Amino acid sequence: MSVQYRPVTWTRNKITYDLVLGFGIAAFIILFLRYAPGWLESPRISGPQLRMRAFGTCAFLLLTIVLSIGPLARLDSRFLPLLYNRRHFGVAIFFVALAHAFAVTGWYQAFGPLDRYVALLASSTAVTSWQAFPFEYLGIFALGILFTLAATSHDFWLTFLGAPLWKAIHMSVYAAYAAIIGHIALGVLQAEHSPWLLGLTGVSVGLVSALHIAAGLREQEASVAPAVSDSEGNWVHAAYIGDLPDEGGVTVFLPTGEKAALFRYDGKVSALSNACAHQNGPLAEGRIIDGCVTCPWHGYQYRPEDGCSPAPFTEKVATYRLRRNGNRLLIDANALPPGTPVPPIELEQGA
Amino acid sequence: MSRSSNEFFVGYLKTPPKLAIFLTVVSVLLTGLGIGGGFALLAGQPDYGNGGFKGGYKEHLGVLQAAPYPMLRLPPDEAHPDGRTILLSNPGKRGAQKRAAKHDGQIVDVGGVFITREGTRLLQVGGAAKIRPAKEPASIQDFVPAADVPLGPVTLRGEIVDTKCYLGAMLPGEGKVHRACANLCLMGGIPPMLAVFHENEAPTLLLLTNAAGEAFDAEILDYVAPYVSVTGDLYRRGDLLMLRTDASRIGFI
Repeated sequence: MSVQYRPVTWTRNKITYDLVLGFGIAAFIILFLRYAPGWLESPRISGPQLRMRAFGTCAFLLLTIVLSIGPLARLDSRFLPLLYNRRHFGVAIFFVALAHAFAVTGWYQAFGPLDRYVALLASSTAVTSWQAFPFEYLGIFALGILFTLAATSHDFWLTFLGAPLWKAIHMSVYAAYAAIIGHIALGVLQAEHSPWLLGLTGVSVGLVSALHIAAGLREQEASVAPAVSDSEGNWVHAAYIGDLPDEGGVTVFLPTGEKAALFRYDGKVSALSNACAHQNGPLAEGRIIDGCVTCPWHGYQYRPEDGCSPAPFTEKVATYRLRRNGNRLLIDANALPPGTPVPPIELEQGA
Repeated sequence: MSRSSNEFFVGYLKTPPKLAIFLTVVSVLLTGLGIGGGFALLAGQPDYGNGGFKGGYKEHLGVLQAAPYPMLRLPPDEAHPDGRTILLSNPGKRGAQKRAAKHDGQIVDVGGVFITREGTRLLQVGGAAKIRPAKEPASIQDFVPAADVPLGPVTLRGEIVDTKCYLGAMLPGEGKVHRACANLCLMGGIPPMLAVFHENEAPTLLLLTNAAGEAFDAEILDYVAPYVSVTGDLYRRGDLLMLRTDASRIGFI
């Protein structure tokens, strides 16, 4: 959390994250360039083409991993730390993909009759043929998306554009992934018929798809809270008091399509919007730390009674009214404006 | 999945020890799997042949022909009873048309380095001689290159390549990934060839020309790299096979 814009608000965990990421990328590239040719039965490949393969393969594997982190974290919260600094991961992917693009244009598009960037667009143009389709176009499209995501990854853009628009823009990473699969399928998979190439591309698509489907199914299991007839407000069933974890949250699926986060703390219960004001992180999957609801993604904190971040921070989320009905809690599905104080439900000891 | 709050990760706080161990294992696994995956992809790499620049700079005496693509005709000898025909190119993705045009039909010295793959060669022109009127033409003064010998109509299957990259200027210099580069070479004037692949022997390479036996124009570019079927009339010029065809008689397989 920060009250001012800095290039990066470094923490020990972010430094560790970046060091591990940088080491992994460097190890991959060095091993691929230095040792792979000697290890191959047929090491005859031009140096620039080996570099294209090293950077291209690395970017593809990194994209597979980064797209798996989100659903993995939904399925098992121990993966949440991998999500914490995912933006640096995305920026690293862009630079590795850019190195791939430079390796290509510096070799295939160079030394010719056209400027290399004109050549990139003009040397292969049979867009109506799948056999001769210019797969480079798909790579350019994906690189454009990766650049957009890297360039807008800073919190300045998140605040400037607003979390919903920022998140919608960043969901285009899936379009980039689809374009890269097309880039591979209509490029190297048409040129070389190795079962390894096809198999590992298939494993990537299978893994990313399966994890997203599994995470989606888990979300589907939760049903929308049933309405409770009442003249005042839009009251629905929220949770049974006995089901509320200590210092943890419960997600309530409201008939409005929104989600609320229900928290039990210090013998009280409060309800906030489930979407963190920072990046729409799922607050209900967070914890109560120092008396505040703490987002599982980046540790943004909100007071449960009014949805406001403690001073000097200024973030706010919507709050919800709660009502007790015997051993269960009801919630008014109509959200209150962000930062509206709501008296918590007091629980008797042992409840 | 609910876990105790002492395992809860907050970026700006110290990572809980059990979680740190888990993350270390995951990081090592991901790095290992990533590197393993990359090497597995390499394991599928085929043999791109042993083509390349070979033999160093040499000068060759012969008769230059500028059409359909610049080539040097050498008189017959014991090993080459039909004579030899050597295709020429400039450095980079450029043909030798400009240099060749002013010496068409002349006896010349051509200097350069061979790009050779499995017995087929192309000479990249350069060095001291480049293309110049022969200094000592007497030894081939009486040599008149034979006319093209018609061998009849054929339908062949293979890959249209740019001769220079395919022979080893790039490795691999063929296939879909290399298509844009091949097209740029053809745009620059490098001769196109049809590579017809065989089970257990080196591919047969045929120079492609249009139906009139002239250099192909841009219509060929759409057919470079994927496997194609080409119908045309086969000719032989010296030891070089040439296939006269047009885009309407080329189709993807």
